[in-house]
Amino acid sequence: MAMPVNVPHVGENLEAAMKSQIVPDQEFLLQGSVLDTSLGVVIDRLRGLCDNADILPETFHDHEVVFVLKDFSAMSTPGPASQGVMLRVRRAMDYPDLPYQLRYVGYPELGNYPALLRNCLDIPVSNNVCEFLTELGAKLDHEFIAKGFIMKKGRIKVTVFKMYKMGIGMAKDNLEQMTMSHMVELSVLTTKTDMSVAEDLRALADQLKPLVQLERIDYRRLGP
Amino acid sequence: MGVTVLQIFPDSSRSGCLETEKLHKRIMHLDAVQCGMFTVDCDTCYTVTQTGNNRKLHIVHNSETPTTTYAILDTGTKQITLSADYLFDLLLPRLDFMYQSKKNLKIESKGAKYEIGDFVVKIGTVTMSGHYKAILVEVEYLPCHTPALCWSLMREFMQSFMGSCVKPTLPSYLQNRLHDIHTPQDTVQQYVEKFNEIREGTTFAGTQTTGSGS
Repeated sequence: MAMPVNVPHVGENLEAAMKSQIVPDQEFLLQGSVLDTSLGVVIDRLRGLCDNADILPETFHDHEVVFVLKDFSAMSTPGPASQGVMLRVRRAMDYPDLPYQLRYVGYPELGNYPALLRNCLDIPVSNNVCEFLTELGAKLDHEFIAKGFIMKKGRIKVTVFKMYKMGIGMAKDNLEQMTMSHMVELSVLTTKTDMSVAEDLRALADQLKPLVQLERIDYRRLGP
Repeated sequence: MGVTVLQIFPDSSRSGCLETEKLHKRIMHLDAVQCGMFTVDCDTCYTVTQTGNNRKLHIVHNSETPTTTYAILDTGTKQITLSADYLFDLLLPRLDFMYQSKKNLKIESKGAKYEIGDFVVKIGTVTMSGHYKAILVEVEYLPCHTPALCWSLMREFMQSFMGSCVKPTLPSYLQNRLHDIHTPQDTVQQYVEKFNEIREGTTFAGTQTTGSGS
């Protein structure tokens, strides 16, 4: 009776991937914004720079809910327990059958990188994730709707979107906008061993000047 | 994916491999075909917060669904099962200020998988941190999706090689989901239920009850 001795184990595979640092958990990010009046010009420029210039850019319409997981009953002592962890749940409103995305975003890394570098985990999950997080002890922090265009250039993801407020009784086509401008984001997900792609990100950002000024934005420096 | 029933096979001698060998022989007499191995493992995290609200988070992997992690949250009053990509495992260390796993409670069922017509049988040896604990038999009936419609057939089949340890009544987990469509989450939830019983150590003698055996 010939039997394979071992069954590959999910945990083992993941551990091996962690050891050889091939888990795509690092994100390079550059952000900027553009006034609604100049949106058309930016989109045209991006279509020229990105892949598939011959077709119209894909649109997206996402709903993002941000939870904070921390020990709410604990005394406010310094440390991760009082600061908590932010967990973001995103769902595509225009494609309700797609899985929800659970996203963990770490603090920006210190160092002189061409773009903002942070730890990032994107986990597709089942649609009961909000209930799961609430029972886990997390509380809803804020939510918003992001609507816009998505393009790509090689491995780089380019999104141009507008953020809208969430409210009771808000219809899909009657949203309240937060600002008079669109966000422009360039991001790429990579591994610890492959940092060269950050240069490509910077190069693309330079080609968008002076239409959009894309920068490393460290939110911790933006005080309330 | 059909309907899955999980059964602890009593092993009063605690010999482990002797009993699995016995099951192997019996099932081969039924013209089963061995088709590889399987493993289901479960890690449990406990809350470390100061409040009395104790929640358990079971992290389960099943080799049948190799890129999925099942996170089963047990609040004491209800259970919520989240199916996630296995990158979810990398999120857990970041939650360790609230949920910490106890390594010596890691439990797994591992063994051979057989096919007999429309049935898939998995005979697993359960070990907790390397120590043999029990034998778990998983039986899946592929053509049906609701337990109510196929339980009697499954019971008859299970009794044909496991004997009287298979009770005539449906396991309590399925009793409450008699007419629901069976999903992979239901399979792992049954594993968690049995793993908990095994951890509490009430299984070796406790399951040898009389039933309307074969």
